[in-house]
Amino acid sequence: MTLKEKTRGYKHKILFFLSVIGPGIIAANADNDAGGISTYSIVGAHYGLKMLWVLLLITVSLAITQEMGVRIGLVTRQGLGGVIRENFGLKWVALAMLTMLIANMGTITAEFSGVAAAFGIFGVSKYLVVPLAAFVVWMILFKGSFKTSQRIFLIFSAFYIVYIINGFIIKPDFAEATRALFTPHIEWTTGFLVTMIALIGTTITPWGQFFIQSYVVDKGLAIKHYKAEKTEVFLGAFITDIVSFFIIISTATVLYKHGIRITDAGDAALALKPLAGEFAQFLFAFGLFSASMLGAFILPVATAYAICEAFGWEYGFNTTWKTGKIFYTIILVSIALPAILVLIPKVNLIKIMIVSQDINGILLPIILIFVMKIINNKDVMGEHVNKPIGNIIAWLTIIGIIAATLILVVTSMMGLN
Amino acid sequence: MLFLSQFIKVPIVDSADITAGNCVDFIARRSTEDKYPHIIGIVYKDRRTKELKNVSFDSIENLGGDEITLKTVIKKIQPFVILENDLWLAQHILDKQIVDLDGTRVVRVNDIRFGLSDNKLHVLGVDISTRGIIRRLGLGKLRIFSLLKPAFIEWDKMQIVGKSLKLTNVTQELVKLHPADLANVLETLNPSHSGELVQSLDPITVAKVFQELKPEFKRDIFRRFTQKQIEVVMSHVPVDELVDYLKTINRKDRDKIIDHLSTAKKKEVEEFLHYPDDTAGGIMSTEFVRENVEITVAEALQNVRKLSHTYRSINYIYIVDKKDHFLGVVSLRTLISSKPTDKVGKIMKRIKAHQTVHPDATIQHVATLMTRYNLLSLAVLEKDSTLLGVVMVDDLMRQLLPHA
Repeated sequence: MTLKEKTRGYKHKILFFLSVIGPGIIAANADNDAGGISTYSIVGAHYGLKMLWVLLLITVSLAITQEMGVRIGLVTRQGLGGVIRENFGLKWVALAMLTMLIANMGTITAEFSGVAAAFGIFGVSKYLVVPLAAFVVWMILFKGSFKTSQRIFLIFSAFYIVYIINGFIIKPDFAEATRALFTPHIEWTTGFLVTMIALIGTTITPWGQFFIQSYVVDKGLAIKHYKAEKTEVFLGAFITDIVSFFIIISTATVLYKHGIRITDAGDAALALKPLAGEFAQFLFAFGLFSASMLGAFILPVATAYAICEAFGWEYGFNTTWKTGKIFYTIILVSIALPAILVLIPKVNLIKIMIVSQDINGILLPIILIFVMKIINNKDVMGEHVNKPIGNIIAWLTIIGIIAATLILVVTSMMGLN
Repeated sequence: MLFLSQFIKVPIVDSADITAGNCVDFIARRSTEDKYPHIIGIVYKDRRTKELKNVSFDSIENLGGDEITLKTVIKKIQPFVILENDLWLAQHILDKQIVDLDGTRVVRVNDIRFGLSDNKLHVLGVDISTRGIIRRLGLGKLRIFSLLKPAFIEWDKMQIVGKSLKLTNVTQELVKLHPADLANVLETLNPSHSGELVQSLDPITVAKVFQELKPEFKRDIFRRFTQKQIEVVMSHVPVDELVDYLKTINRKDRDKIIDHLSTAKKKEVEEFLHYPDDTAGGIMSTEFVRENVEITVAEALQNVRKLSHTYRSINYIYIVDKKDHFLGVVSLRTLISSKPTDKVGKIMKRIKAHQTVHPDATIQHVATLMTRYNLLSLAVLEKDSTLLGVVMVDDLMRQLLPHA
């Protein structure tokens, strides 16, 4: 091989990797949406470093569950909705879709809350901002280019690097933080459990499971891309949770240490003061806004895709209103209903964001159980069935969440706070 | 109307009122005399042993929504033999994707419809409507859903895909579809299904469909083909299409395919590979009729007839001199309405140099010339004015609107 041929081969490999990259990174960035930011901020502000161990565990779980989604997608070349339909029948896929719909509606509500909260920092009324945002999202999805807007917001959401920088500036005790990563700590109070489940639910989401699978199918990837994809989702999980880590230690150091609790987005913005000073408010609002909009674009689309695929309705952006009525109606309702919910007077926007992630967390086991059944089915997966270690980690995650949910229900019923 | 979903999970009760088990599936068998397959029996899960057992259709007394009754006691019933290519309706067809041949789209089976005639239960077709979904979910009785319209596809108007494809042959209807429609269908199906479907088609159809597929699907479609099969298909694909495909795959695979082409084709392909996609050279075709200026109309027509089976489209013939310099064109219309003894040089339309392009011309320039001079095809010349290829207006359109 000549030198030219050698370097071309190398370039070819890099291009190959880059051409395949995308899904994991996008899903990862979208994890840091309105629900994510508020949850991570509260985890740090209200409990300091005490929940970091949960973050470590769910990073592993996230990587594993995303990888399973990728593997099923590459082998079956169908979205999760289609696979559930073909293997479990209509009634079960209806259940899965209902679950996903509720969880997604909650998350979209969180996104619009995020938009409202971001502008609320500057005193702009939500009655102005939310309808406008909802309208813009609908118009672009219905008429315009989804791809370009997605790219814009992806770039904006790179803002979260700010938290990483901030994380170093405030000179937190990294030793203490690292120790906390490996120190389990649990309080049997409603507040702690609610926050903990929200933490899980905002990182591993039902929609994320559907999204990663559809995305690898849409991109036309095949099983030969498995290694590259696996690397990418692992990388994606790592990156997103690094950002989460820094958000938590930022709020832990700046707010928790001084006993400041978060009741609205402005409080959370304070965590950026060491970096940006007065500018902190603006920076935070900007980031929250763009992260919320990214979510507001992706979620309705992901919802409509999954539901239409499961029930055999026409879908995709190359359909028109005439042919893709149901597809566009789902998108419309997924935008309108959450927007209306956010406009209810006197709702606590932060609370909405946390509760929605709780819903994600509680409903997640249902979707994960479907995934587990499929990925262990030899008829479907052939030689790519799960290895025991994958099963162990996944089942531990599922059991962990169900246990936490049950305990939460019990403690809140017993009135403990 | 009788639907499969009405009977799944329904108890099978014999004449002694003993419940043998719950219905799991209906077995259908195709016959050459009948347009529709008929039900030969029912599979159920034995209540005690949990094994799958079956009863023939003749032993059924009554098919009811709450129970299926048998004519005699369960002990007296002989199970029937299920053959290799019998269809298990719930397992192979229900909830799976099929191709609607009338609408040329891919849909999902929500329910299967039966019809009773001379004591045989026939599979009439499938329900793909939302109403079918409602019925499956058990909400069929609610009045408001009667607003939803039913939507059926008859058995002979659908093509099963997926694992079940091995059980049915590709229907004649499917092959009759326009290659572009067939390509659309393949693009909508999930890739493993489309791969299986493609394998059941003959190479010439595959070659035609291949040309209509979107770029990303071209690569995908051969996943399941052996090298030999690919070569056979490729031999039916025109050079310019072949080159477009070869440009998108990696060097190793490309060289493998090129090695197995005929020498002449190989040479052309290698030449074409040098031209970038967005130039005249990249979209031109070498499939055109080239005639010497001295030949007669009669001879030209004969050549056209000979070549009309091989070439995708012939609208003009291209006239060159002894040295292969491009001189002009004769449209088929002119050819047909001229005297057979006339020389083509006499009736041809001279094409001036500025109405031709070189291989490195941009698409923009090609489009401009074709629009300005109302040309359906544009000659591509080498620097020495020899005729290299022809850009057809449909290839130009494909370049401008690749995702149509």
